[in-house]
Amino acid sequence: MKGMNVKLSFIEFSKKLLKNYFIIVTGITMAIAFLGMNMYPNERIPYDAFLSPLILGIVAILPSYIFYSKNELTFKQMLFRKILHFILLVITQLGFAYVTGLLKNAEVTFLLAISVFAVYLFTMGISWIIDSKTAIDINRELKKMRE
Amino acid sequence: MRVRIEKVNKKEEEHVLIRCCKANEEVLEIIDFIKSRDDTLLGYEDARKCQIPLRDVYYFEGVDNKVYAYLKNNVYEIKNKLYELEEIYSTKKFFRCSKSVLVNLLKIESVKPALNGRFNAKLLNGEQVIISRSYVPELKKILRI
Repeated sequence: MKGMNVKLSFIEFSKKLLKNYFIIVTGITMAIAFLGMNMYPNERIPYDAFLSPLILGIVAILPSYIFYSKNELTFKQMLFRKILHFILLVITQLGFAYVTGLLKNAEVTFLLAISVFAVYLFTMGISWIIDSKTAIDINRELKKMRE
Repeated sequence: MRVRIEKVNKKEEEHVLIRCCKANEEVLEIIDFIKSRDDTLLGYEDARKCQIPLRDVYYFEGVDNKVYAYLKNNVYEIKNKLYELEEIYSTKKFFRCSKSVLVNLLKIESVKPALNGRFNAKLLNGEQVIISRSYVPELKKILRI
């Protein structure tokens, strides 16, 4: 291929991330609500606690800008950025936890990093399984079309 | 559907006759396919004009305000815009697989996942093109998945 000339707009990309941001914020809010109701049913939270899902959402979404590219990324480029994205995600999550005083010792730090890794791997795995199934369906129909 | 081939003399014109109760979607698809066998488009190799059979095109790509048609071994410049080719040839099994590529579905050997909901399409000539995530639903619609 000679290269790509049609640019993916930065605004278009940001709009997609904004949609993801609100999904993440909703997820965090639900997680806080359900975990709180089950684990600390008698605790009450202050008003400023409502800001934490919004801030956590920003922390989670900002590293996604690593995927922005004016051109279509090749598989290798995407894989490289995925690895970079994961590293950035761990750094921002640990940074946020450190600033808010959640990182009390090395054990907690390690557990948080492992948790991020496990969730990342899990979502990638699920996505890969779904895409593989889609690829099988597409290949079957393409074969029919060629015949 | 029964298929019958009838040989004709060299002097006679070759033609395809479809005998059906109704020209349904399947029949129209067959007509489109037959017509696409005859389609050619004008391409330029340096300054030389060439008639390119559409069926030989693997994909079209837009690069720096120019559009190129990629065949098995040759690349030709096409004077149309990519969106014009998309409009003209969408019924000829050409599919917009990313912002800058229009691929011939009949030239795709196989696809495999390429991270982030995208797919890597391996063409019959060994080249690979990316199917962007946002174009996958359209492909599934075309293939009736």
